[in-house]
Amino acid sequence: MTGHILLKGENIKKSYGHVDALKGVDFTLKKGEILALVGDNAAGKSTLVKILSGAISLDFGKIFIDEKEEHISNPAASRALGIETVYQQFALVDNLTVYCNVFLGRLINKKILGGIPILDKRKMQDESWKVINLMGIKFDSVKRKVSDLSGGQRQAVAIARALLFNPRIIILDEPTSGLAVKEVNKIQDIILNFKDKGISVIFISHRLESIFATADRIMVLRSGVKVMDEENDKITSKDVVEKMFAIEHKK
Amino acid sequence: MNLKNILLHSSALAILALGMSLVMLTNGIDLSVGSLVSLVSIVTAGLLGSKFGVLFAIFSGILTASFFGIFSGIIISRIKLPPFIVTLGTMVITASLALVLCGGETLYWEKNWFNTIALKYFFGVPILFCIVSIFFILIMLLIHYTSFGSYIYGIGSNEEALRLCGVKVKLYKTLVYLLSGCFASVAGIMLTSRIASGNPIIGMGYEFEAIAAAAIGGISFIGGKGNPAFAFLSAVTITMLTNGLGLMGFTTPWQYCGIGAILVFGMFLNRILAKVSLPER
Repeated sequence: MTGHILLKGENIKKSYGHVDALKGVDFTLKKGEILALVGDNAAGKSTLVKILSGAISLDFGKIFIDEKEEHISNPAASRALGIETVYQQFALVDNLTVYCNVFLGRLINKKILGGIPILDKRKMQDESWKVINLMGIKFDSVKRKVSDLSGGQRQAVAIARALLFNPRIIILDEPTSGLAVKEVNKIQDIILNFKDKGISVIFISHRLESIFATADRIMVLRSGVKVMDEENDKITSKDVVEKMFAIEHKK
Repeated sequence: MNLKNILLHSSALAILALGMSLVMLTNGIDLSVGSLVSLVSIVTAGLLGSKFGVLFAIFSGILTASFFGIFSGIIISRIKLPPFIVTLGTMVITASLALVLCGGETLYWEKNWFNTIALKYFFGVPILFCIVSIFFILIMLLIHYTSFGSYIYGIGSNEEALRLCGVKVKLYKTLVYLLSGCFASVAGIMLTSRIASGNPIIGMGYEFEAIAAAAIGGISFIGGKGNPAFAFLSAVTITMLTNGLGLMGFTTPWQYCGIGAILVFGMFLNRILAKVSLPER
């Protein structure tokens, strides 16, 4: 069940030097909706994700959350608005433990000796366990370093980080890339679970089967322009591919 | 007796190795620590001869090195110039300043408690080593029990991930160079007290020894890996080596040869151990 429009972008433009990565893209995302963002390389998907996550600033356009215009100037501002992003390269720190990665940027401190802040490792470990267990991916310890984890486990850590602070919107940039089929299915289940919880999802993937298995709506970008925005059940993967690569029907 | 001597002489290097470890954990390097030691020695000695008193002289020394630490840190983190180049520049600036301030001569002052404090012992342990040990404990606590420690390792491992998570990477990097500068000032003040004079070249070569101690102690040159505790122990070991070579009649250049050889051998050993400890996949 999807609700009111939670996130809206109007005429979003972004250039890198002479290259126009986004050429005035409009989009909407409803509450509890899963929107798949599809496109070939350099279509502008990652640029749009980076704008929404505060990693880069837009050049032109407006972003509204609950009909209120918001300026997302940095990652902290994005998080404060309830937007959590799981990046394509996982954005994990290999040399840190699972629980440190889950709480990265928001490590919990406790005060000792009248006010000296030290890490509350126990609390972070417990909270990390709770979130990771919710996803149903096997972990033997949250004290392990991320470098020792499998691809699926690493993705689970990245998603756990996004889930931890009750986000309203989760952006997943290629969450299934490089994963085994079993792990892909698990991640898809997790994404569908977000929807059940009323969390809106923007989901970027090259795997059309994953997209059609999870998304409510599919938006196709090509060379920085929106070329398709349709409900999942009204289109086929062939339609999407044609729009992605600008394939014309011979009549 | 010689053990006390080793602890006394390793104090300056040990604290420099601690600072260098923090910098190297962030995938950086600080070549300026040796010349900062010299500059602090001259600033402190110069002010000890004035009417302002010992504490003012010590405070000024710490402030001087901290300023250059922040200077390097800001340029590295904000302008994103390579740490090697920035700290090389700071090294040249501070080494020159040290010589300019004293006119190339050793500075002396009227004898006071600062002249003798470095040679005192606390339960048989040199006071200087006790001071360094306190810094060691503080750094260990900082590394293992604070957000700062986690983020230092994080910056060295995946700086972009931290930035995307809203961590103030620039601030933490600047703080690390500030700490390195502060530690260089402590080393400079300790050496000034020990030799009871301000010497414009007293810190020469310390940057190399500090890097060697950190590297031999297992701090990775690409950041994110290693434990400053081993760099600390490595500093004591290097001092033992140079002390031993000195007792055997080898001059300072030969002692440096020894450190260089140990550095290469230590790195080789680290590589071997890393390969052995790699988990099967």
